[in-house]
Formats: sequence, C-alpha cells, structure tokens
Amino acid sequence: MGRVAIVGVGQSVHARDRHDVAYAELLLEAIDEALDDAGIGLSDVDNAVTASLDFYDGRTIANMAVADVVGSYLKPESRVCSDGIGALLYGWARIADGYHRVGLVTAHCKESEGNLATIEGAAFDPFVQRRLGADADVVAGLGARQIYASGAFAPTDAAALVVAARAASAVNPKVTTLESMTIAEVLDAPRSATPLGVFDRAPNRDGSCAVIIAAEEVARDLSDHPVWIAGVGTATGKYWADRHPGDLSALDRARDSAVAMTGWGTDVPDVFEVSAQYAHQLCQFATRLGAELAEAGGTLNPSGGWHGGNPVTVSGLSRVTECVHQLRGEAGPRQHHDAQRALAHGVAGLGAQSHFVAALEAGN
Amino acid sequence: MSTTPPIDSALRLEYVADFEYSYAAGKFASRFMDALRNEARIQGTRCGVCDKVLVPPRPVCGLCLERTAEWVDVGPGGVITGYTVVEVPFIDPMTGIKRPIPYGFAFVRLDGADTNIYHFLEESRHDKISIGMRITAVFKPAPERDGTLADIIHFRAEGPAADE
Repeated sequence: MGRVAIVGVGQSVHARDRHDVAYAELLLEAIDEALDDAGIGLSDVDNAVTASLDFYDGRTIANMAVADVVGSYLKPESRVCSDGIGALLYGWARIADGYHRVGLVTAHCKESEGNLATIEGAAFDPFVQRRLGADADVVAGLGARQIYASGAFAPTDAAALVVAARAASAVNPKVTTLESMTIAEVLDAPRSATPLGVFDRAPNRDGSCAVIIAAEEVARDLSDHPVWIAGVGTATGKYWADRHPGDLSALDRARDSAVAMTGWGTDVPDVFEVSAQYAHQLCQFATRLGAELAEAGGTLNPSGGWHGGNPVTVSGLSRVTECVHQLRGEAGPRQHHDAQRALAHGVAGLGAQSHFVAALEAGN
Repeated sequence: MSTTPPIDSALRLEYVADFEYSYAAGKFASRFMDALRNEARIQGTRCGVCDKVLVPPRPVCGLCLERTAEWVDVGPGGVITGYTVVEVPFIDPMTGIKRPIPYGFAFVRLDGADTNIYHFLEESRHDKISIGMRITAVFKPAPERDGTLADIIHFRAEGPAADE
C-alpha cells in the first residue's frame, strides 16, 4: 500500500447566501486555489472524488453539474453523498492501491437554496417518522437532553465551545467573522428544540473545499512540505432512533482505525479539528477524539470548526484543510507551535450516525 | 417459532413533497439570461485552447480543462442536428401548463456555436422537419421577456414560411 500526501488545499469563502455564484462557480473558487497551491493544472489530475447531497443541490446526480470544473471528462469520477472527508478517504484508497497518482477531492453545499426542514425531513422513513414533521434540530434536541441528563456535559460546556468557535472565526479568512458572544448570551438565546438554542447549531452557510492528493513520489516532486495521510478510518453506527447519543462506537472505531495505521505510538496529535453540527455533540466528539489531551498542549478547532461557519457536507474537508495549514506552519494567528500531527474528523447523518477520521502528519 | 401474522392489505402511503428551491444562476448563466432579456442575443463562451464556443456559456471547457477565454454572440440562426415530435401530453416546465401535442423538439447547433442547445420547434409535422434544416430563434417581444430560456418561444424554419 503506497503512501499518499496532501499537496494542495483550497476553499471558497464560506458565507451565508452566496447568491453571487452557481454551484460550479462556487466549487471552482476552491479548486483554483487548491491547484495553485499544488502548482499543477486540472489536466495533471487523473481522478476526482466529489462530495455533495442531491437534496441540497436540488437536482439528482448533482455531481454531474460540477463535472466540468472537477475535470472528470474521460476520467474516473466518483461521488460520495456524505461528508467531504468521506470523499478524501475514497480518494486516498484509489491512490494507496496504486491505480491512481493524483486525485482531486471536493465538497460543496449551499444551505441557502433549499428549505432545510423539508430536506432534512426527507431523511426520515415515510411511515412512522416523516409525518411527524421532525428535522435535524428535533433529533438533536432529543439527543442533547439525553446527553445532559446523563451528566456527561452541561449546556454551559456546549455554550463555551460556541463562544470559542465564534471568536476563532475572526482569524479564519475563509469564513464570515461571527459576532462575539458570551456563554450567557448563547444560553439565553431563543430555543430551537429544547434544550438547544439557535446558536447550538452551526450557522447556515454556503461554501466549498478542494484537496489535491498524490502518490508519494509525485508528492515529493510537487511539494517541499507534503502532508501525509498517515491513517484513515470510518464507521457507521446504529440508526439514531435505536442508539443512545452517548454511544460513540462508530467514532471510536473510526479513530482507532486511523490511529492504528500511523506510527505515532505514544505521540499525541497537536491539533484536533473536530466536526459537529450541534454544540453538545462537539463536547462529546472532541473529548472522545482525545482533546482532553489539549491539557498536554494540543489545540482544538483552531479554524473555529463547523460552528465557525461551514456548510453541511463541507465541514470535514474544511477540517482537513485547516490541519494541512497547521502542519505546514502556515496558519498565521491560528498557528499551533510546531504542529507535527493532527486529527481531522467529519460526521454525517441524522443523529451523527457516521464518522470519519484522517490522521495527518508533517515531515518525511 | 413465531411468525408474522398475515396482513389484510398491503399498505401504500401516498406522499406529496413540496421542495422549494431558490437557485442561484451564478455569473455565467446570469449574463446569458440578461443578454436574452435585454437584447434578444444568445451568447456563449469560447475556449482559448480548442477555440470551441460553448452554449450555454460555462466557466471551464470540460474537454481542455481550462477557463474559457471570451464571450461571443451566436445564432440566432442555426441548424437542426437532431429532432423528435412529442406525441404524449407533457407539462411544459417553462409555463407549468400542458403543452399542446404534437410539438417539435430539436437539438439546435446555433451559428458560431460548437455545442447544441435544445428547444421547441414551431413545426410539428414530421415530414417538414429534417436534420440539417436551417432554423432561427423566435423571441418574445421585449416587454414580455423575463430573462429565462422561455424568452425564446421556439425555433422556426428560416426563410419565407411557404407552407402557411
């Protein structure tokens, strides 16, 4: 199995209501930046893996609408209807198995174009769930109550992470700077589905992300500072209604798979970029991924994470992009000193059913 | 051993979903539609590598994998490169009302373009339509145009309408 490195990353500006661009144009912003970062052209890419969700895009087989800009004409293109980090894992496998050499991995979404409650509602089975009119907020509200009732975390813990994410947005040039808030303001905001308030959910955003990956020998030619994909893991847990939200078996499995592939031993990651659309989930996932090791000097979500302002589908790949900037020492005011190892995490599905982890490292 | 009791009837659940979207056309389609509405002009983008003109306009030439280089006018005349006469009732997606049948529907290669668009034909008789036949766009009057593809009513045979 060959080694695979990330040699280019790019993101559009993630903002609310990107009415100025069509989907392909939105994605092209990220692709142009990633190709420029890698120092290659689209014709140097031999395959593409894209992430998008038809119901958000408002058309079936929505990846065909971006075929031109991802350069998939007469090349293999596959599409992942899940978080973009899932596309990265797929793209990694294509190169690690030796059949491809340079891959483009993308994710895009505009949460602004459809009716989110309708789109989310379509995920429910039509007989016993959909007719009750629930959406992602309702599912998350049920879950948050169970988590808080278990005593594992309190609403103030979640609110503190929202406050931190909003502050971090000010030093992330790819997201809209959010108004700073206090913990009390987050807790006092209008409720969406109790115990959750409107700021517990990541903000409504449009955006895209692109990552260029390459086989080892190509990566060494292209880049003085390749970021190696040292391990990957993914797992899908039980259906949300059959699973206590405190059951993070899928996250554990994804993390363990990824870390087992690395040679990190007792070395811990310096940076944790963790995805969660709801703040109580961020408490859970960050803790489970090992951010308690932050006490040993690690940094959690220097980018601001999903709550800093990314759309669904794109969050995981944005987490990867931040890890790459950190491992190259290019993160400016967000930089973790001498970052050598990072964990990037993505999540997808109602009630956070599927998890993805990529273990990334700098160096040779 | 337990078994699932037989059912009296197999349930089917009718479900009608109303999915509302507000699609952003973006920079390229917006300019294309503006030219249709304001000037009754049809435009494409030319690839600077292969020199092909792509209609409707797009930011990247999917074959050369390069950004398109410039905007050019195409049409309003062109040739039919493929056609069908539709014989089944169909809701016209541009008007939301049932389109009278039969009606002609064609691939159109506009003059100056290297790709096809497809649109309605004024003609609906099989024996009056042929591949290679010259046709031209018929636009709505300016006050009625609203910046959609429906600003082109249909394509009509070029030259005098001898059959009427």
